Amino acid sequence: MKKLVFVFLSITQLTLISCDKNFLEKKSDQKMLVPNTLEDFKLILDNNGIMNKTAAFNVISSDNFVITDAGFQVLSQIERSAYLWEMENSVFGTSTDWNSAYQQVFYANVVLDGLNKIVRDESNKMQYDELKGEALFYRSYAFFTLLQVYAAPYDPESADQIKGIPIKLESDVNVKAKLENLKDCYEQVATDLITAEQLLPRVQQISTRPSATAALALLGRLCLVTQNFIDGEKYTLKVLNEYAELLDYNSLDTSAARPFPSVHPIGTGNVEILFYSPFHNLSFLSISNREVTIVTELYDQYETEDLRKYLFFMERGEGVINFKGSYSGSRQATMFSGLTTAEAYLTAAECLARNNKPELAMEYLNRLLESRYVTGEFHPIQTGDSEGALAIILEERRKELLARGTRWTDLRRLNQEGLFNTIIKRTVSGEEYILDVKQSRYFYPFPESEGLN
Amino acid sequence: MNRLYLWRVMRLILLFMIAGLLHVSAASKAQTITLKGTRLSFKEVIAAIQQQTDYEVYAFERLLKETTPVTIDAQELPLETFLAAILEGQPLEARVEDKTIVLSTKVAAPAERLSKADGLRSTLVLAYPEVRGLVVDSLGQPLEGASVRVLNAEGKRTTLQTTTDSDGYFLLRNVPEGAQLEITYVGHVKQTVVASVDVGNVVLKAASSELEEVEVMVNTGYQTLPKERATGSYFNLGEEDLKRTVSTSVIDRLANAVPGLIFNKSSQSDAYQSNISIRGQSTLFSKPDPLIVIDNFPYEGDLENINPADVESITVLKDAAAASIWGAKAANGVIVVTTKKGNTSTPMQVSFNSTITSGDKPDLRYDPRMSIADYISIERRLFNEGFYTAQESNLNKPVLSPVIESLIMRANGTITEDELNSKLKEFERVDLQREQEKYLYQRKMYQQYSLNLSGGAKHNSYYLSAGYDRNSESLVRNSYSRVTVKGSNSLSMLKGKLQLTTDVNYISSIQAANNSSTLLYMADYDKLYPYAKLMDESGRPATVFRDYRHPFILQLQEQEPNLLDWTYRPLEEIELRNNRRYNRDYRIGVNSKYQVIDGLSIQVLYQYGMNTINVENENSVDSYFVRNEINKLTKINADGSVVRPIPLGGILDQDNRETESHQFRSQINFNKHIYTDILLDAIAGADISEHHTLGTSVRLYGHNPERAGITMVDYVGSYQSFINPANQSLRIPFRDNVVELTDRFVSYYANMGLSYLNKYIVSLSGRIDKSNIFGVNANQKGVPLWSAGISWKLSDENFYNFSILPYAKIRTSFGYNGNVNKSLSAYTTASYSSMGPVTFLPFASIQNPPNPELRWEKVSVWNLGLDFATKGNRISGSIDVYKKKGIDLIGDASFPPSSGITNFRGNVANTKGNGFDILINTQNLKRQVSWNSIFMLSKAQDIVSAYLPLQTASSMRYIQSTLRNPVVGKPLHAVYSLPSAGLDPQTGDPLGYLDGTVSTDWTKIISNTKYEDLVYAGTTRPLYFGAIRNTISWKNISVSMNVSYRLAYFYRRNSIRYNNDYGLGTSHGDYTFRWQKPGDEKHTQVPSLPTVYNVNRDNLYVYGETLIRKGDHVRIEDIQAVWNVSETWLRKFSLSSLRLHFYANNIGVVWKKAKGNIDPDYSGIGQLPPVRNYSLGLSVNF
Repeated sequence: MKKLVFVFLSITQLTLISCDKNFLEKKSDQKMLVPNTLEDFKLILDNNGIMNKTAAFNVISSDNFVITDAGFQVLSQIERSAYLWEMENSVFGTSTDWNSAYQQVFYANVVLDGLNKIVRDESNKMQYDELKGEALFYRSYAFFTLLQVYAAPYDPESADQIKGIPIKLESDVNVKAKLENLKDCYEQVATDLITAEQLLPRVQQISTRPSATAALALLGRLCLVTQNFIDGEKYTLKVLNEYAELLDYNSLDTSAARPFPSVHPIGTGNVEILFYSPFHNLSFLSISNREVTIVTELYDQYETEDLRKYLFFMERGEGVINFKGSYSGSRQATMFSGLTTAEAYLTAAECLARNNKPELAMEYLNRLLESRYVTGEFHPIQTGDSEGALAIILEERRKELLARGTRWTDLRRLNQEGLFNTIIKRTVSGEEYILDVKQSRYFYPFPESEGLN
Repeated sequence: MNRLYLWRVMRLILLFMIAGLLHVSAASKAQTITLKGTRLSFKEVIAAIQQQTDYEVYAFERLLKETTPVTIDAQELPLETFLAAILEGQPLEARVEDKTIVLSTKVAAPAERLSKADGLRSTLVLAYPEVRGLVVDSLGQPLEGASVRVLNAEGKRTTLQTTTDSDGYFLLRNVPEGAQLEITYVGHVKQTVVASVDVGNVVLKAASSELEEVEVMVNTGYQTLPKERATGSYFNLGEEDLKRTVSTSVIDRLANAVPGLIFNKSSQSDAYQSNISIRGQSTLFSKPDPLIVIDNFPYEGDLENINPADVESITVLKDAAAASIWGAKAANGVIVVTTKKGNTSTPMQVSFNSTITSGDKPDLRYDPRMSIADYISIERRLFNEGFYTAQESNLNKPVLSPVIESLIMRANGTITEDELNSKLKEFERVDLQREQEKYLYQRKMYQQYSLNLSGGAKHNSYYLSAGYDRNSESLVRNSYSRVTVKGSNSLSMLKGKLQLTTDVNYISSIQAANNSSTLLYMADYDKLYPYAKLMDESGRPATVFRDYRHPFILQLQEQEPNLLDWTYRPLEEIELRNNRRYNRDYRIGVNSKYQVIDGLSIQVLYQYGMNTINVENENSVDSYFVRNEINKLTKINADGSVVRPIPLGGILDQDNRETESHQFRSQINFNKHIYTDILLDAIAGADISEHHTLGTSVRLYGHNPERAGITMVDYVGSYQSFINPANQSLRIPFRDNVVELTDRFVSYYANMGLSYLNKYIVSLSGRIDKSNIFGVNANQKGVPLWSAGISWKLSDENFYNFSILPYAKIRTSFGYNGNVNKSLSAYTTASYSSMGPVTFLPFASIQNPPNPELRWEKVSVWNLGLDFATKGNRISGSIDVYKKKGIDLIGDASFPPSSGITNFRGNVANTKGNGFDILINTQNLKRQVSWNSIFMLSKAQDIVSAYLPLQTASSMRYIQSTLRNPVVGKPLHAVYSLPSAGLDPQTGDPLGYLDGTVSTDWTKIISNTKYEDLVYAGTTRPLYFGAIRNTISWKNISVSMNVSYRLAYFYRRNSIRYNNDYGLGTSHGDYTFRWQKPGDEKHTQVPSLPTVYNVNRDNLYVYGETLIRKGDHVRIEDIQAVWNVSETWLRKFSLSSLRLHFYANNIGVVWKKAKGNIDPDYSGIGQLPPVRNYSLGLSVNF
C-alpha cells in the first residue's frame, strides 16, 4: 500500500514540479512586452499619440487670435485662464501640457537607458544610431517646449541665476528631476540636439519621426531664444542647404475648406514639413470653432496678392474671419505644430539680419515669399538696412507662422530684448484685460503636484 | 430558444433516464391491516398495505421475484406485526420509517457472520471484548463515519470510541459490561443502545432543526468536515435557507443571510469595488471579489450561470483558518458552492419546481427632475443671453433642442410670437418620463422551471437536472433566458474502495439588451430634453432630435434625395436593434478517490471548463445608428452619383471571448484515530490550473443577414464629412481587436486537524502559490501563506457546570491570506498596439515603470469565536471577533509629473480592519404555533494604516471620490466635504471658509482648502449591518420576514449643479428649492442661480457638507410564506410532497435617519431603487 501511495505521489507531484518552471513563464497578457530590443524601442518612439504632441495653452495666450464672448462662455476653465493670462490660477496645476511633455521625456529616457544595455555593432549601428538620435530629439523638443511655457523668458545676462525647469535624464522614476537654471537647461537641449543631428538620417520618410534637418531647425529656434544669432544662422543655413523645399501656394485651391496637403506620407504630402507634432486638443484650437477669429490688424497686413490671405482664412461675413490654414491638412483633425522649412527660412533671415547681412537676409525672405504670392505679382523686397530688414522679417514671421506655438516664444524674446514691446489687450464681457511686457506674466506656474513652487 | 439546444438537453436527459428504478406507490388511510388469503403474491400483499395504511412501500422489482407466496389471515393486525408475519421465511427485511417501508435483501447481521465463523465467541456474554453493529439511516443506507462512543455509568462519554467504516459497520473492543453506546452522525438524531456482541442495526433518524444534533458540515472546497471539528469561522447555508428567497443567480441568495457578508449597492463603482464583501475590503487596486468555488474548483465564469435549484449548500469561509487553504486567492473570503448529488440505495426521486415572479415598473420619479416649465424657461433665458450662438454657428451642426430651434425660428422671423408661444405650450404638455413609463418600461416577468431526478442503487448514484429560466425585464425588449443541464453520476467499485464521480454541467444563456439609457441621449452624452415625445398622435414612433440640428437635417434630405433618412425615432430604434449576448458554459469534472487503507485515501480530480461569450450587436440597415454612419461619410458627386464609403447594409459588431480551463488536483486524505483519543484529519496535495482566454472583436460592414453577406471597407482612407465639408479627416470606424490572456497557477497545500476527545482541536494549514506574473523571476512568483487555529469544547470539561449554556465552544485562529495583481510587473512593460493614429504604424505604450520590489498582497486575520447553545437549544448562536491587517497592498503613489508618470502603482499601502459577527437563533415559541428568530449583527471596519504622505495638491481629489480615499488613519471609503457656511442672505450665494473667515471667493476657497480643513463624515460602507428574520409556523404553513439594517455610514446626496447653463444639464429637481429671495436661506440650502458661471461656486455647494447624509436605515427585505400541502391530500395525486411558496422582496425602507425620500443605498445619479417583486412557486416531489 505504501508503495502505491508513493507512486501516486511521485507521478502527480513531481510532474507538477518539473513543468513548474516553463509553465509559469507564459505571458499573462500576450500584448505585454518588456522593451529591450531595438524593435521594441522603435515601437515606443513611434507612439505618435504620446511622442508627437505640443503644448497649446500659449497659442491661446498669444496675440493672433481672439474669441467672441459667446465662444468664451463655452471654453474650459483652463482655456479661459490661459486666455485671460491668469498665471496664478491653480487650474494649471493639472496641466496636460506639463504632464505630457514629461511623459515624452520618460519614453525617450526609457529608450536611451535601454540602448545603453545593447551593444552597438556593425549589424545594428544604423538602427541603433537612428533610435538614439530620435530619443534625444524627442526629449529636447519636450524640454524646449516646456522652457517656452513654464520658464521665464531667456535673459543672456542672468540666465544662470533664473529658475529653469526640472531636467530628467534617466528613466528611473524614483530619481528626482533636477531643477536646473535657465542657462543649463538650454545648454542641455542644445548639446543633445547637436548629438542627435549627427545620429539621425538627414531626411525621414515619416513626418512624425525626427530627422537631422529637423534637429537643425529646432536648434535654429533655440538660438533665437538664447540670442545666439551666429549659431542660429549656421544651423538654419545648413537646413536649407540640405533641404529647402517650399510649397508653391499657387498650386493650392484657395476655395478648399482644408487647402493644405496632408502631413503624411512625406513626398505626396506637404513638402515643407520637417517634423510633425500637433497640438493637444483644445476647443479654442478646433478648426470647427467659428468663434475664434484672427485679430483684424494682423489680417489687414496680408496684401491682396498674398495667397495666404485666401489659403489661411475664410471670411464668413459680418467681419468673422476664421483660420483654416493648418498644415495638418485634411486628414488630421488637430491643428499643426512642429517644424517646417518655411520657419527655417524666416529664422535664417532673422539671424542674417541680426548678423548684419541684410541683403542676404532679404534674399532668403524673398525666396519664401515668392512661393506665397500669386505668380508674377511678387516684388522682391530690397533693403540694406539691418534694422529695417529685421522689422520686415519679424512682421512676415508673424504672418507666416500662424497658430504654430512660435508666436508666444517670439513675444517673450522680443519683449525681453526690449525691441518691440508688445502690449496685448482683449475684451471679455465688456471688461478689458491687458498683458504688459512684464516677464513674470509670460510664463505659467509649475503644477503644484511637482512640489517645486 | 434555439432548437438545437433543446435537442441536446433532451438527449442528455434521456441518457440518464435509462438507469431507472421501479417506483411503487399508492395511498391509503388506516394503520392496521386486514388481509385473508392463501398463496398471495408478494405484490398483492404490498398492494394491501398501501391501500389500507398511509405507508408507502419501496422495493426493487427483482427482489420481489425472489419471494415465496404468502398465506395469511390477519384481522386488524398492527403494521409491524403484519410485516413480521409476511416476511417470515422471506429473503427480505423491512425498514419502516417516516411513512415508508423499504424492502431490501436481508443482510447477514454481523453476529450472524461472526457465529458462522466462530460459533464459540458469540456465547461470551459477560464482558464484550468486541462489540459490533451496523449503523444505517432511516432508509437503510449504511452511514459511514458515524461516531460510536462508549458511555460510563453516569452517561458521560468515555475515551473509548470509534467510527463506522464505509459499509456502516463498527467494532469496539474491551467494552465494559452493560455499557451504553452513544451513536451520533451528522444531521441525525443520536441513539443510545446497550452494548452487546451484536448490537444489530442501529437506525439513526434524520434530525429536524435541533442544533445539538444537526452537525453542520462545512465544505472548504478541499475537504468536508463537521463544523464541530473546525477551528475557523465558517457559515453554512443549507438547501432550505437557499430555497427561502427567489432569484436567478444563486449568489443573490446570500444577501442578508450570512453574518459579515454585505452586498454593496453604490452606483459609484469601478473594477476595484466588489458587489459582495466579506468582512470588509482589504485591497485597493487588486481583485476585490471573494473567490467562488464550485464543486472543488474556483469558478471564474458568470455567477448567473449556476442554477440555484442545483445547489445543495453554500459555505462561506471567513477567517484565515477557514480560507487560507485557498492561499493567494483567499484575501477577500471564499464562497464554496456545493451542487446536488444523488444518494446510493435510494429509489428514484423526481422533483419539479416552478416559480413565477412579477415585478412592478420602476418609479422614474424617484430621481427628482426640474419641472418642464422651468426647463423651458431656462432654455429661453440662455437663448436670450446668447448661450447657443456659438453652437448655432458651429460647422459641425451640433444638435439643439426643439425649444431652441423654435426660438431661432422666431429670431429669424420665420414664425410669429403667437406661433412660438403655442409651440412652447405644446412642449410643456409632453412629459418624457411618462412616455418612458408607457413605452419603454413594462412589468417584469421571470419564469423559472427545474426538473431533477436523483437516486441510486447500492453501488451507484445519480443526479440529473434540467432548468429553464425566462426573464422578461423591466425595460422593454430586454430579456434573459437560460437553460441548464446537469448530470452527476457516482460509482463505487472494488468493494467500495474506489469512488468515481463524474459531473457534467452545461449552461446556455441568451441575454437581449436592446433598450438602454443611450437610447435617450442627445449627441451621445447629454440627457434628452424632458419634453420629448416617443409616440406621435397617430401611434407611430415619434422623431426626437439626436445628433445634428434638426432643420439642417431636414433641409439636407430635401436637397439630396439620395441620402438615407437622417431622423431618429427611439421607439423604432429599439425594434431595429438586435443586441444579444450568448453565454455557453461547459464544465466536466471527474473525481476519483481510492481508499488505500483504512483512513488513508488518495484522490485525483480534474475539471475541464469551456466558457464562450459571444456578444452580437446587429444593427439593421434601417436603424438610425447605421443610417447615420453611412450618411456621415456619403459623398454626392457633381453628376449626382452617390459614393458611400460605408456600404449600404447593416453593421454587425461581434465580441467573442472563449475561456478554456484545465484544473487538476491530486490529494492525499488521512482520517484516522492515530491513538485511541486522537483523531487526525489531514490532507495534502497540489493544484495546477490554467485559464486561457482568446478574444476577438470584429465589426462587419454591409452586413446582410439574409445572405450572410458582408462588404469590404477602406479603413485607411479619410473622408469628407457630409455635415461639415471642412472636416475631411473622418475615417471608417475600426474596432477590431485580438486579446490573449493566460492565467496559470501551481499550488501546494496541506491542512491538518488534530482532535483530542473531540474537545480540543488544533488545525494547521499551509499553502504555496505560484503564478505566471509577467517579468518576475521564478523565485518571486510564489508566496507561502499559512494559518493555525485551536478550538476547545468547554462544555465537555468535567468542571464545566454552567447549566444555562450546556454547549460552549471557544475557537481562535490566526493566519495569512493572499491576493495577486497580475496587471503589474517588476520590469518596465509596454503594451503593443497594431495601428497608430497618424502613420498607421504599430506602436507600444509603456504600461508601468519597473518595480523590482513588487510583492503579493497579504492579509493577516486573527479570529476569536464562541459557539453556544442554551438548554434545549432555545437560544443558540455564535460570536466572532476579528482583526485584519492588509500588508503590502497595491496602492497608488503620487509622483511628481516630471518623473514621467503621475502615479506609481506598487506595494505602498497597509490597512487595518476589525469587526465582529454575531449570530443568534432563538426558539421563542415551541407549541402548536412555533416562532423562531435569527438575529445577525456585523461590524466591518477598514482603516488605512500606511500610505504615502499627503501631497500638497488641492483637496478636491479627496472630495470628489467616495470610492477610495487612502489617507492614513481614515477608512478606505471615506467621504469628505467642504465646510460650508450656508447661503448669503442677500444673494443666495453659497458661503465657504477662506482661512477661517466666511467668504464667497470660491476659486480661492477651493484652492486654499487643504486636506486638514475638510469635514470628514465617515465611511460610505456601513460600519454595522445585519438582519433579523422571524419565522412563524403553524401546522404546514410557515411565514417569515427578513428585515435588514445598515448603520453608521454616509452618502453624498445629489443636487443641482448650475454649471454655465443655470443647471439645465443636470436639471435636478432641487432647482425648485433654490434660493430666490432674501429669507429663503432659512429653509433651503440650494444656492441661487449664479450671475456669472464659476465652477468653484458649484463645487462648494455640490461637495459641501450640507449634502452629506447619514445612511442609517432599516428595510424590510422580503416576506415569504410556505404551505406544505398535507399528505392526505397528496395521496389523491400520488405525490410525495407539494410545497407552495409565496415570496415578495424589496418591500421598502421602514426607518431611516436622513429626511427626504432618498433610499440611502440607491443615492447615485440616475440610480433607481429595485422594483418590488412578487413570486409564486410550486415544488412537487413524485
